[in-house]
Amino acid sequence: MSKITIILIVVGIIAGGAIFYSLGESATYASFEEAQKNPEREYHVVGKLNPEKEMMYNPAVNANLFTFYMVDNEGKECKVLYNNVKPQDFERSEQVVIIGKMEGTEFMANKILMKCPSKYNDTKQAQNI
Amino acid sequence: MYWGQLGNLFINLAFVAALLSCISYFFASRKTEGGLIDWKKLARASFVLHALSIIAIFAILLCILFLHRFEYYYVWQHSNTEMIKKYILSCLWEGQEGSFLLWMFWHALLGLTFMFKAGEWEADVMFVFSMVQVFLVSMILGLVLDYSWIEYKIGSNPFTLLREHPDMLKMPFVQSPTYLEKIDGRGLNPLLQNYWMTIHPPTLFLGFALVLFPFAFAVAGLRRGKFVEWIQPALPWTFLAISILGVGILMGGAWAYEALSFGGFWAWDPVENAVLVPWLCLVAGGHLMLVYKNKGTSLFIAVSLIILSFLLILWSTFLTRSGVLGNSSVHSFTDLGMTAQLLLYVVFFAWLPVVLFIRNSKMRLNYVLLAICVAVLAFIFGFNLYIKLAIFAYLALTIFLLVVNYQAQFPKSSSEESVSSRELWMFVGALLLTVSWLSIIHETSKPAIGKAFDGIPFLQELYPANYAPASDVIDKYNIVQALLSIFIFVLIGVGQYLRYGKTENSGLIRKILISTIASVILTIAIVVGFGLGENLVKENFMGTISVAKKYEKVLYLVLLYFSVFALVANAHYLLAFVKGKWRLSGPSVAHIGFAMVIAGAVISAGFKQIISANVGSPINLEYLNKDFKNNENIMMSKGDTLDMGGYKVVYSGDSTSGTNVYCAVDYYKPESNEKSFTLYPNIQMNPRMGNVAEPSTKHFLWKDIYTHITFIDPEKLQLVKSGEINRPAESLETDRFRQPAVYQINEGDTIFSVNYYIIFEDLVAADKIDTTIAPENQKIQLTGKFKIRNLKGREYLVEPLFAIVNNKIESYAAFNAETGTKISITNIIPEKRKVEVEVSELVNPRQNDFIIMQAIMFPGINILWLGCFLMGIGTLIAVLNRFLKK
Repeated sequence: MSKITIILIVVGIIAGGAIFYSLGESATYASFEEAQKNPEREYHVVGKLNPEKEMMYNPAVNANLFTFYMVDNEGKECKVLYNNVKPQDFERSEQVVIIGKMEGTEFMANKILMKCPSKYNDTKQAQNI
Repeated sequence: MYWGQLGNLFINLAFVAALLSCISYFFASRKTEGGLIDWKKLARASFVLHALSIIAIFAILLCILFLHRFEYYYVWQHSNTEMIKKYILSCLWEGQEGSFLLWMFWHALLGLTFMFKAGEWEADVMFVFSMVQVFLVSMILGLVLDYSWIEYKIGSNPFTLLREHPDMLKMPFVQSPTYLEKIDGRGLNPLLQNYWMTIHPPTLFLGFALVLFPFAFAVAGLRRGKFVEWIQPALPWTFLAISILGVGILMGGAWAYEALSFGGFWAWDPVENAVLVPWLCLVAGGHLMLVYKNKGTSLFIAVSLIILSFLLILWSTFLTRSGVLGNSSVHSFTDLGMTAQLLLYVVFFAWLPVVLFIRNSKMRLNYVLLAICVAVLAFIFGFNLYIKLAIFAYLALTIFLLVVNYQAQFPKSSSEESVSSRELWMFVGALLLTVSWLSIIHETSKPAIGKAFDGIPFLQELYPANYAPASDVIDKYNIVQALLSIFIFVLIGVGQYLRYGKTENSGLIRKILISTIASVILTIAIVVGFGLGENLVKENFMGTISVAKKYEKVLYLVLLYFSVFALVANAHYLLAFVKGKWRLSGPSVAHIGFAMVIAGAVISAGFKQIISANVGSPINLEYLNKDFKNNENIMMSKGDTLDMGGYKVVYSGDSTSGTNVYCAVDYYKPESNEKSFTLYPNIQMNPRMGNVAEPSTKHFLWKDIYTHITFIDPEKLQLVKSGEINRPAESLETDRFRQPAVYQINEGDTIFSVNYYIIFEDLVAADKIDTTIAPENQKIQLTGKFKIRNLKGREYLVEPLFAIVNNKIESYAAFNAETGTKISITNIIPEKRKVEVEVSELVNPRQNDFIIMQAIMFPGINILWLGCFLMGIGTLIAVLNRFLKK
């Protein structure tokens, strides 16, 4: 076996390892119910903001906590605690994707993506204002 | 003027001319002597016509943008009358159509400069060039196919009229015959109104366009069976592409850092990965071309990587412009309905080199016919399971044919490389780069792969169609890439000392040892100098972060060491062996630059410090959830002094300029209370696009302080915009205040207001009373000292003035903005030792006069920018050296 072959095999193993490492790690979209079953795993939950219930952001108490109620696509409502400032135009968002883990009956989100009506098309979008 | 008709004329002309040029070059390259037509002349003429048409389209689009012709959808969508003229160019390439145009524009110019000097390669290379142009022009064709068997729009035309655009057809306002007089454009995204956006896209697309050269040469080589000869003429173009594309990518990083508020220069976003991956592939391929040129090995992988780097550009174009990434990116991509067309573009140019590579003409014909069959079936039945399986079978056939033809045609190297040869380790480096870009593009492509595998047993479980990227995706990329980079830096460092062929052992170990020791010292100096160790200990072993995170920082330190090693080794080589010969210095300078880019990235991003800690909050978020952090954002009320990152900071005021609202934040040195600098993080208020935060950064030589506003009350923003907030107290209209209350009080008395206590502390005379002046001429000036204390116990000092001039009372009220309280002394009653005080409060006291800000300290980021500059220059020197040698 030539050196080239050996190197190719070694590098192939590294590449395969890297790819399978990244495969095992991906999160998936899920509902609150699914997330509740597996509180250790990180999920993306897609849903809509419940505008009737209270949204709480009081920076004087803590600037890094924002809470609201969201209804997922299966109709289940859940309280969401978000470890950041309240995103700009949050009320106007058509759809919200929250990323995080379930803890008891509350969802601990560390990231929020919003789909707003035709804003910032085709370019980088600042997440929060 | 009929701009639109003229533009469409040139688009059609450009398309037809490119097609004609492609066909003519095809015949010209077959070298049939003495035919009826001089194919080469025809091909050249049509390419010139094509290039001129592209330039004309470019110019026309620019003209209508300058003239604000909002009857055109593109102009309406991407510009408005308010914007500054210098950003008109950014408007041109903000949209998809414009950026395709920019890409074609560079291809056209490069084609023109290359065509007449190309010599024997002209027909073969330009054949590929014009074929690529045919596909690109089709992206802006806007041709609507509307038949019973097909309904499809080919391309998106930049000269579509506003009232004819599909999104606008039902809008009532375009029905009015005079609608043009009433409308303004939607304007350029405020984020793009930045000087980087004028130079970053052209540089990037020039880089993209240059990658076409090595691809076209490699394809020409495959077609002619000249597997070796294409390398020499393609080499300088390859490295020129590496240089320009590399600089273009980092310019994008600089723009993100300057104008965006995601807190850094790189976020592993699909848009960024899409340009990085072809560059990495090209770097790997370019180095293998050098290996082949010097030692005649690894030819097949070199050819493959060069072809792949162009295909990766097409694949990235597909990923980022087709909307296939969907929810997986924070960036929303507009889907112009061109998914099929973009996919066809990728597939065709992946397929073409294989077809041209097949020598046996019968086999080639069958291979082509089979492709047509699969395509027709897919068109009729859609992409169901059987069609997908058929495509996989076709892929397997392709691989089989590649192997067969490789065995039959490719020149083999018989010599076995020595372990101490440079080419062996360059080969390993190229493979590591390949693993690097494979893992990045794999991660980025997952949503697309998921869609392709949907419905296929087993595979669809491996790549779920509802794939979502992990939230800590940045760390994930960082770890894999950091590991690979460590090995690459070892190779960059050691590789310079090795010779092609075999290296004499004498002195090799000594040379490596010198660099090793020198880099240990330099790394320690960096760690101590930037305080990285302190940071490491404080954050990692005293905080509550997870175990994986702790090791991440250690990994970064190891990577830092090896990048320093590569830097030192190349600097040593430059001084000791290259000496003053600048023409040979290119590779070393470029490698030093690359090492500095990574070292700078590790120091600044790996050890960045979020200094905006929110101190004094009654709720500790870490108790709520172990992943939650307290210190991301700081709340600053106007006028309060807070401690932040070794400074005393005060949010001191607001100002406006254009559509921007700037919040001034003063930084004081804690020891001397002397103002050090002021930053103006700002909010751009665009009525059509909402509010966008823009960062403000203080650049020091060895660190940056980067701040951006993460939250501001929208109501307050409006107040600032209308000039309400900064108006001095005297000019505030009285009707905005509540009815004033009048009190007669002694020193030390307290007034209870609605929301505050007001304590009258003292009354002080401004000057001593001059007894030589008669009493009626006395001028007495007194200052009242009042303390307003709010319910939280925060105190504000308010000092109204009271004067008696020529026996007349003059009263000057003092206003405190935070509490919205105005106090004036209206009279003094000496016999009772009392003062008469008038207190009035704002109807709406400004409780929202605060901002929430994030501040990040990036150490050593200038190392990264300097590295970028050196990498570009070094590569250009190497290119120049190659061009001069010819």
